Amino acid sequence: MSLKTEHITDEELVARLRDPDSRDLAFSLLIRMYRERVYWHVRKMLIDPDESDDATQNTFILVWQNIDKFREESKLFTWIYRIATNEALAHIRKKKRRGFLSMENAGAELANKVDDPACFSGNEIEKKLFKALLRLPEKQKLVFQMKYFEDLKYEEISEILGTSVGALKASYHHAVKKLEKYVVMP
Amino acid sequence: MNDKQKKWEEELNKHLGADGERFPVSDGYFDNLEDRIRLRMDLPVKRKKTARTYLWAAAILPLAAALTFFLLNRENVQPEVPQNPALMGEAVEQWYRIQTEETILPEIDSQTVAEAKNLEQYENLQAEVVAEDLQYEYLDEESEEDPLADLRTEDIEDYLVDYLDLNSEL
Repeated sequence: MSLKTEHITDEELVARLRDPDSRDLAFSLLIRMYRERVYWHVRKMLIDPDESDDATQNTFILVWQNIDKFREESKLFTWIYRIATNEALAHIRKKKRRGFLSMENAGAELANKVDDPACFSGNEIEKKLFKALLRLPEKQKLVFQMKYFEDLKYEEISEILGTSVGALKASYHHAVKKLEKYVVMP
Repeated sequence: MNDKQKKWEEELNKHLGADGERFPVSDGYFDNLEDRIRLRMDLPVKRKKTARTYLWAAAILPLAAALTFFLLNRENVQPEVPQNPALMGEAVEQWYRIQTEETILPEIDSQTVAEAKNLEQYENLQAEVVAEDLQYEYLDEESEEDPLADLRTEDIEDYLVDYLDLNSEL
């Protein structure tokens, strides 16, 4: 039996993941379909490649372990995004606890990683943008990342973060206003 | 969102690259991700066709094709079997000649020929030795003396009389 990513819907994929006979193959397909989206999503939040790898792997393992709990009220990818976001936030919180840092300081520590060539290889404008972005409050940072970089709709972000669309719009507005000050284009 | 913010976003777009350009990742990271996840979950890791597999295939396939071509051409050397039975003998002779001259002989190198010559000489020598032995045997048979040749008739008669007398006494 073979499955092609272009011929399968989320519903079919979930059904196959729940069927013991097709579970293994469906898991391979799931990883192939979502590995890059999940990885780049957590990488923007964590910057560090090793931590991003760990969070990405944890995300897929949690999807495998909890697929029976997925109620199909939302899209599969928003459910996966929610798991990935929580995993990345758990990494940040763990670091914060270990280093007795405030959320603000945790953001500053992440921003320092932008100067590490093993973690970041963007141009000067991108460096400025990410340094500023990583210092934003958590919700503003996430809304900007998902709306601006990942081109998600407010409704989808609302499903992922469990926040109303109105609140998300306000958060996005505040985020852009702050970033504008830091990132001045030549 | 106001126009100023929209303009800022549009301007920012012009300076941004793709995720893969601003975040370095190791070569083949996404290709190996599934294996690493499976290892952590104690699930079987699937074998993938690596570049090495393709290189082996690329090397072996032309070799196999060349070998097949060579073997097929070898078979094509054989003459066609004639429909007329009268020509069969001629065809067999031709086939034998082709097998000998074009197929078998080219495969025999000079060393093999030399070895064959030595063998022939050895066989000739062995045959000579055997022949000599036989000749000696014949000569021995011819030269063997008759043990009765030197005996005279009287002596034989005496011997026989003695022998008969002795037997009668017993």
